[in-house]
Amino acid sequence: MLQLAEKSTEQFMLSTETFNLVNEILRELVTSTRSDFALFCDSNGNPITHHGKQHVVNLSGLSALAAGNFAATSEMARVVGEKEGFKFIFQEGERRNLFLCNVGFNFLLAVIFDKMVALGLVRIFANKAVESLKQVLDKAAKAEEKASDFIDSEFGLLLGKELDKSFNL
Amino acid sequence: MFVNWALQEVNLKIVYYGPGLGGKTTNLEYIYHKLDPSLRGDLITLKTREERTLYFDFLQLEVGRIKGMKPKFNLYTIPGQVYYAYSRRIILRGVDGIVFVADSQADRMTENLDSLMDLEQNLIDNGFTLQNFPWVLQYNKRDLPRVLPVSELNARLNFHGVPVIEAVASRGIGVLETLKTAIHGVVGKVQKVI
Repeated sequence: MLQLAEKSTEQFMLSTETFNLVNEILRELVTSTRSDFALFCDSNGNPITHHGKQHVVNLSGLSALAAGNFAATSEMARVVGEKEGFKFIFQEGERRNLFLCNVGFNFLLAVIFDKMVALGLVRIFANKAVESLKQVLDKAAKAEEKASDFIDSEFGLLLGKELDKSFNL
Repeated sequence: MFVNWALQEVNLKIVYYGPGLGGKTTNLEYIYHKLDPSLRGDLITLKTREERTLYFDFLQLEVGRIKGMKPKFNLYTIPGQVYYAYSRRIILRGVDGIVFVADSQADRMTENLDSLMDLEQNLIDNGFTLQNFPWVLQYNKRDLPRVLPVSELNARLNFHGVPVIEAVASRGIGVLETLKTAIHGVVGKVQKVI
């Protein structure tokens, strides 16, 4: 069976149970490192969940940029002959730092932390979180719920009405 | 498509593709300024100093809940210039639908065709083809002199008979219709797959 963290597909369904387990891992990571914020997103740039001070960032924007940045960095690794890619990206700011790493092929973990927090600490706990996340995702059974439960012709019709309303057409 | 059951969200990715200076960013800028701020996020643009798209533009839209689920549309543009081929491949990862913004001017047909061929090749690399993927064609810049008639643009570009929208993106003409048509194409495709 292909595993969620590694399989290559254009459609992902994340169950509530998996979501809650991922949340718990992020909570532990933020608490252990006294970081401001941890974000879990997919490598296509969709935010999945986060823990910490949400006001710090624009979630959808950070996810899109993290995915783009990580993909570009992976290509840089290939260009310089680093076949397995770089293990993480670290950005140092005046007040806050950002740590970004991949979780398998399809997901990313971003941690934002105060400059007083040591990078080594974040790295150790982030690596631990990545292993836990991989285990959770690998065990994730196919979500019980199905997209067909809601994306049907009625969904298309209602969506059309919502779009007209939103666009004032 | 990414479905997050815990948050009851369905995320769909739509990419604006096409030749450089065709009006992809202008489409997103119009959508950003036209929509109620409660329905959209910030417009993120990664530009060169010459105001050309370097990596991508990004805008997230939300509409009200439908059957308990909250649809979110992630709109991206690609950098149109030929030498940003790798960026285009990255941005196409996980794409659910495409808007191809073609420049209607007669002297831009070669660039339109090159970009369309580039799109097809990138889709093939992702396991799709233009024939089996939801996409729409926007014929932009219809207000300029020396534009080709729609019949000729169709003959040259629309060999799969996809929906066509005439537009003047700088004035907002056809922009929202294009997006709505693309979203319907994506939802229709999802219905067929499931």
